[in-house]
Amino acid sequence: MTTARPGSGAGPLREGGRVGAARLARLALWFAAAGAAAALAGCPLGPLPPLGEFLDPARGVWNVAKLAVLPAADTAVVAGLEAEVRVLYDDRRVPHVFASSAADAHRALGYVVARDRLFQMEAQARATAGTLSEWVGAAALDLDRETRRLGLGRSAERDLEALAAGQCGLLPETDGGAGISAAGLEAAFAPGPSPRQLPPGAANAAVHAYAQGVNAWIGRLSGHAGERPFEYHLLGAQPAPWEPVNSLHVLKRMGWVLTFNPAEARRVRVAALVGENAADALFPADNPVQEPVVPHRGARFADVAIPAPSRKPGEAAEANPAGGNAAEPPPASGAAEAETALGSNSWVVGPSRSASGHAILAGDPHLGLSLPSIWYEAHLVVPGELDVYGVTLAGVPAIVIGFNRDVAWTFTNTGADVMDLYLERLDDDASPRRYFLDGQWEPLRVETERFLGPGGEALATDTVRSTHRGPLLDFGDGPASVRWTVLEECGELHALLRAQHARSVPEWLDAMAAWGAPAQIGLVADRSGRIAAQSAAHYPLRPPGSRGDAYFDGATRASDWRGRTGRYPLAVDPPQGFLASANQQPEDPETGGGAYFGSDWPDPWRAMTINELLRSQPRHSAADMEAYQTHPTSVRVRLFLDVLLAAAREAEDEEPQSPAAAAARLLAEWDGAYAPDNQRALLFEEVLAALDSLLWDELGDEEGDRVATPRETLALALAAAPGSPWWDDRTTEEVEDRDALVRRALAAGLARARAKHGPENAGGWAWSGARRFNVHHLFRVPGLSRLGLAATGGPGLLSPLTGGGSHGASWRMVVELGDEVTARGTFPGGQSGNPLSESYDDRLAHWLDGELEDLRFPRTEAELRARGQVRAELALRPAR
Amino acid sequence: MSERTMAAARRRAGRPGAGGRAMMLLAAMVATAAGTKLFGWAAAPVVGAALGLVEALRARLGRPGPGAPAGPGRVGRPALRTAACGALAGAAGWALLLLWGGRGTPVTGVAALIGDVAGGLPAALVVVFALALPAFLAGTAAGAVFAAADAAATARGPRDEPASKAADDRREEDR
Repeated sequence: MTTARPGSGAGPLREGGRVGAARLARLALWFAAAGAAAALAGCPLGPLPPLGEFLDPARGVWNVAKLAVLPAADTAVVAGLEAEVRVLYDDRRVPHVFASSAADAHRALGYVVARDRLFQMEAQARATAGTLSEWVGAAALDLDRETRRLGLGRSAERDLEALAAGQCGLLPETDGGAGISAAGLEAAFAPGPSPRQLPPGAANAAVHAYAQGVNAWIGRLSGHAGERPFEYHLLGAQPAPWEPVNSLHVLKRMGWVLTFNPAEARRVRVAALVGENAADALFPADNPVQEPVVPHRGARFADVAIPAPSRKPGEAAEANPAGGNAAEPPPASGAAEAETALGSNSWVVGPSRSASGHAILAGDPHLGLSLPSIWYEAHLVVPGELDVYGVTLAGVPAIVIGFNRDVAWTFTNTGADVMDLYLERLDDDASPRRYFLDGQWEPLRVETERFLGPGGEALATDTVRSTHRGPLLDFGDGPASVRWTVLEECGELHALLRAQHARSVPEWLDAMAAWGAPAQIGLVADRSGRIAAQSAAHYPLRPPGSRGDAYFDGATRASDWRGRTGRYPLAVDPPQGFLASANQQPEDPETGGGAYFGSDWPDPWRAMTINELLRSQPRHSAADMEAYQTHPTSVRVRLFLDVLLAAAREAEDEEPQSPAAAAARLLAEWDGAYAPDNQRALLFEEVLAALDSLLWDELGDEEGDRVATPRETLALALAAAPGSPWWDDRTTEEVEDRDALVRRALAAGLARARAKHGPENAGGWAWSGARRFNVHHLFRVPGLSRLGLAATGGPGLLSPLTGGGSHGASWRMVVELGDEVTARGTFPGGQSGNPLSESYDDRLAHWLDGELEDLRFPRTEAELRARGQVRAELALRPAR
Repeated sequence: MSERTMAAARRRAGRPGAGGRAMMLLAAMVATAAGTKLFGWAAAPVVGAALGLVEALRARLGRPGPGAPAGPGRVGRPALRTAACGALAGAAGWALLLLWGGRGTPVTGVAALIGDVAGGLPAALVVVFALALPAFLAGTAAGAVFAAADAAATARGPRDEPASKAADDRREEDR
């Protein structure tokens, strides 16, 4: 008999067939380890997906690389196709779709966009429908609640029903003459070929065909385990089938981005701080600086009288007895910049102002910069029917901005007021069922929203209420119902589909008559040399004499809209030979008839800069237009620099060593440019930020937070009133005038610049050290974003670069409508949404350099092949 | 019977030689790869568990009787050795699948992307982690099953009967 060896498991641990405690403990440890391993692999860990599925070499994330490569030749079956569709990808990875019918073209578009942007499509649709929590759980619950209370998803569902019934694309009722004047309307619709019409169900057919294409791609993915976009692996989710309503979700989301603006709530807070009259003057219906879209008489600076702010009792006691410290930089609010971050540029020159004698159109919509990019380039060809190139929103079956063989167009946000708030009286604070209207209680519409988690589990329920006007929300001033054109209009897709077919400016304008919301300025040119600008939207007709920037009384129907107007600011072939739109007030109040159209107009600096550039020489080439899109300076610089340097002159004479004088000397050296290596731009911005804080100190609430910031044009207008009480810093005992406050801002800005970036002559003041572009991934995942990108851009520039650097020109395009249409363009990203694809961000370098790329616009497949520009081919075949 | 003869008999009864162990490992690796391809990541712990069971059976087969030295899998720390074997098979199986399925698939590119998303981890570390996961899954499953089987055998007490006719015959032969 031998003895057991140590660790053998026999002998000491085994006693008469009983299992010892130590062995049991070891056994328990083994099972605990095995359980931990299984849990690690099978359960999500916080934001991490289940790692087993994620890292699975057969079905996991590794498959993403396969999708990054565009096969040189590929075929797929798409249900519903009437005939084979050929898709040629050019050397810029732009799909050129050659189909035999519009419906097939839409199916193919759905397929190719989903192939590159499936995650983005679903993310946008979910964000609008309020179902992000089904992806990420409770983390998105607040966002989903907000979205569903607003009712965008339900609105999209109503739109789909209306599309099916052929009820969209109808002209609004007439305004009875109370709306905006429409100079040139008759000229646009002068007798000519009757505009091409689409059947009423065209948009409905398009969203259904598009969904078939998208689902064909999803079906193909599901046949290859693990082949789905990277983000789905991160989420541990599978792509959901694409429904036709999802296309409308994407459009609704754009409406929300561009026009959701509860300015009424802001006005209440400002009025509480400084009084009604001052609030009205600080946020006027008409911008004090005018250079409108509809040409009037060039730039015009109106006199502005801003009533003194009312002072609250006991306020003097809060004054700083030290009299303030000029060297200490006040906190910069940044609020004004945030408000100007969204916007767009567009301009067009007619033959009389074009070097080639052809109309040239330039456009660059400014939106949030994202990866994948918001836009997707595509070319749709249906011989004899359709030949359109441009950018589409991922999820929308139409080219939104682009050109065909005859017409080019682009959009800028009008910024008009298309949303009103009505303060409602309810029967119960906690659980209201009725609202008071015209002397009696009316039932609220009450609906229950259910929120599900990633596993289909119920996360929460919410009760959503609405009045006959719209959803009931609370912006901090009590329950208010919202009436908003975005929730009610449904003709946008029909308008876009018709616009693609337009052969002339009048045809295009006629197509856009169906566009309801969001309000957009469309700039258009055709091959015959006609140009036009039109604010397309169905605007609310409010009760006579009322404005939309204050709460309405919800207790009476007298507050309700009387209908919509289809009359918009419009300019056709102006004598000056060009048109420019950059979100400025579209029509000068001198010519607008005094009707209320909106009040929150962005500063017109970009519009004025464009107009200056277009006036600066008699004729312009397409290359000029391309260069203008990244013009390094702006009118804003010149106007404010004049104010700053004038105020500093006294300081320079009396105290040449003072910080204010030093700052003024440094600014005087500046060429006004915002190139990345510029050494003075950041000082200018620091001074303006300091001025903003000092000037609008009256608009801080009890916690010191800025309630609202007037537009910069108000500050400029105040410069003409050096003794205005608004120049006084109420935290000091002395009473400052304009020059005193500006000198303090100069000193504070200099101190802040030195504190952040070191001495001015040490080379550390490069503008790129202060501001850079940040192109975030949709979910703001740093590894999928491109951050800290240096490029020319700045506040008020045609290439805007504001605080966070996360907004900017989302698509730059220049189109020359000659005998053959030539176009150049680019956007900050790439065609593919796959981070492993070289096309994920391949256009970013061009965009940062301000360069556009030639856009391929072949008439036939053979033409693209003959040029050697085919990168890959895809044949889409009908299901047998 | 000499000690040498007894040792040889034990070897024949259950303890594999280097070649046999390599074959077993290779089989487990292939089983892991095939199982993962067919059924997903859960194949790794299942193959690990199977390996643990096989090792336990082999150990039991090779055990000559009460008080005798442990079977081949039981030399040193048997459960740990089994777990290591399972871990190796799991990692190698996934590595095989990555390389095999990865024709045209730049694994390092995906690893770099995951590393970026994870806050800047090197791609190599991501790959190591990606292979550590099946190792952990298969290894712990193998170790746990082996330990459980061993505990069950222990609870049953010493064997009175030979575990198999082959071992019985060998023992008879030795006598």
